[in-house]
Amino acid sequence: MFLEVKGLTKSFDGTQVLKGIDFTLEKGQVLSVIGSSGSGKTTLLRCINSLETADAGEILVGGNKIFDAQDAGAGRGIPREARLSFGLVFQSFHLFPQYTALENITLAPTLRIRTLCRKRRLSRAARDELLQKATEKALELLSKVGLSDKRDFYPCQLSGGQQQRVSIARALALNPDVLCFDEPTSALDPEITGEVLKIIKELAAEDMTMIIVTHEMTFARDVSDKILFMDGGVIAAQGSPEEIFGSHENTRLQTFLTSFYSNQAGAEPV
Amino acid sequence: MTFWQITLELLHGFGLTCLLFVLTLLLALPLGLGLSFCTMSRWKPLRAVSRVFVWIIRGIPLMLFICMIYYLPGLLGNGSGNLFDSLDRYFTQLMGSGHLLYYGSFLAVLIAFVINYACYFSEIFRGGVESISHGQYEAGQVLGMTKGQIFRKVILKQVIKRILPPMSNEVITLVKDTALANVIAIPEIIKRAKDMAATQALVWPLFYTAVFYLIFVGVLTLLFGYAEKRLSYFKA
Ligand SMILES: Nc1ncnc2c1ncn2[C@@H]1O[C@H](COP(=O)(O)OP(=O)(O)O)[C@@H](O)[C@H]1O
Ligand SMILES: [Mg+2]
Repeated sequence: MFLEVKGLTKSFDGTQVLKGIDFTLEKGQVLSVIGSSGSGKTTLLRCINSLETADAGEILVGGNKIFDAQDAGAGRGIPREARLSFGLVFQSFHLFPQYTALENITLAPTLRIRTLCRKRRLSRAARDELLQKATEKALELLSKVGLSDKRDFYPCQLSGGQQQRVSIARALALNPDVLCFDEPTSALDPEITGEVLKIIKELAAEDMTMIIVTHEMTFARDVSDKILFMDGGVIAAQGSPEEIFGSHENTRLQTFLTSFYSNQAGAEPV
Repeated sequence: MTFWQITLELLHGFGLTCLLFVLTLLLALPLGLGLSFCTMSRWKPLRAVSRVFVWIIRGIPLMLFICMIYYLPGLLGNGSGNLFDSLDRYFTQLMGSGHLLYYGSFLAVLIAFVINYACYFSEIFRGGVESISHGQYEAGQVLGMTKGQIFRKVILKQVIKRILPPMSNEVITLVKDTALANVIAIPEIIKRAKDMAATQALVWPLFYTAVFYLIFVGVLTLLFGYAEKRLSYFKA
């Protein structure tokens, strides 16, 4: 198993939000997480990306322990290299407003390269070559998300869909083993969700390992190898898209899907 | 006295005004930044103490605070007279010239101004830092940036952009507050104009001083306008 999440729990002020989450994922697979609002999906992604420290549980990537709540140091700053096993794309992008699309992508890699070169006392020429490579990679990523012509645009000059595509490129620039998305299209107008979903589909076709929290059921069914249904902080059901979207015996899942589809069938969402 | 003699005399005072302004800015800005970190500290005692400090200083009229700094050390000390006055005398002896008579008093005023303005600046900095969305920090974190890198490379410029308008307000207020230095007889521009009114029955130089302030504030307004324009390329 490439990614293993074992017994993850998390409480906020005495309320348990994650009540023991276990799942695994093969390399190159796509996992979608569905469930109603407040079921703990975001908290799960935040724990995986060390934005929150889980109270208990372990996370392993490729056999390496990335996180263990038992460790003395857990919670006190996760080692940077370990956290870079994961990337996270936020619902509301969080691009850096004072940097251009290209600079948003190169900022973190550039800072890493500079720190690395200082530590290893590499020559200026070696450093410049690494920086040059980082820029080339960023340009490649921009063209991959279809925004080569927007490289010098600032976030405020880009549409929501374009901003989200830049933020995907920004996350990819650090070569994460697993890329996570938290409702990547929820902040977008319905007519432009497609351009972001298309990029994610292309990544799936390139065997990028991904965890996607989403309310786009059709998309989840098409792109996923595996689906988790979360309910009240537990995984209430998991399985292949066929199993989950077929007639699954879990009644909570059936209720969720039924209300979901009836909402969609109804006129304008309110 | 001719118009030019009076202008020259006032310019002399205005030099002192500018010196107080520049030194206060240079010292209060970094001190205010440090103080703002204290008021935002996660360590509660430090946060509490620094916030109470800011409350007290901002609650005391600056004119009164200048008097406190000037007179209190003498009153609390061993009765050897005013500390800053002694400094005055000491420097007068040292330099052997009369025009440095206000050296000690100037120091007292400067201390009062720096403490007072550091508190106002710290509140502006705090407001700026706290107004930045948490998502900016988190985006930096998941990209593996260190806390220092996130602050310097992501947060700082957004904070500067946001605090420019309140900063320009406060800095313009500082220009005019320098006039308060005349309560302990610092010969800044207003003091000199008032002296002319008293000794030579010339009242118009007092109103003429407004021209100096207006020009100075005008220049500052242009500078802040320029800075805001320089940072208008992004929205934060
Ligand atoms: N930082 C926090 N402090 C307190 N409660 C939180 C915090 N983050 C999330 N929660 C609570 O945890 C529950 C799950 O939230 P979340 O993970 O955001 O759910 P979802 O993403 O599935 O909508 C909610 O009830 C939410 O109020
Ligand atoms: Mg959520």
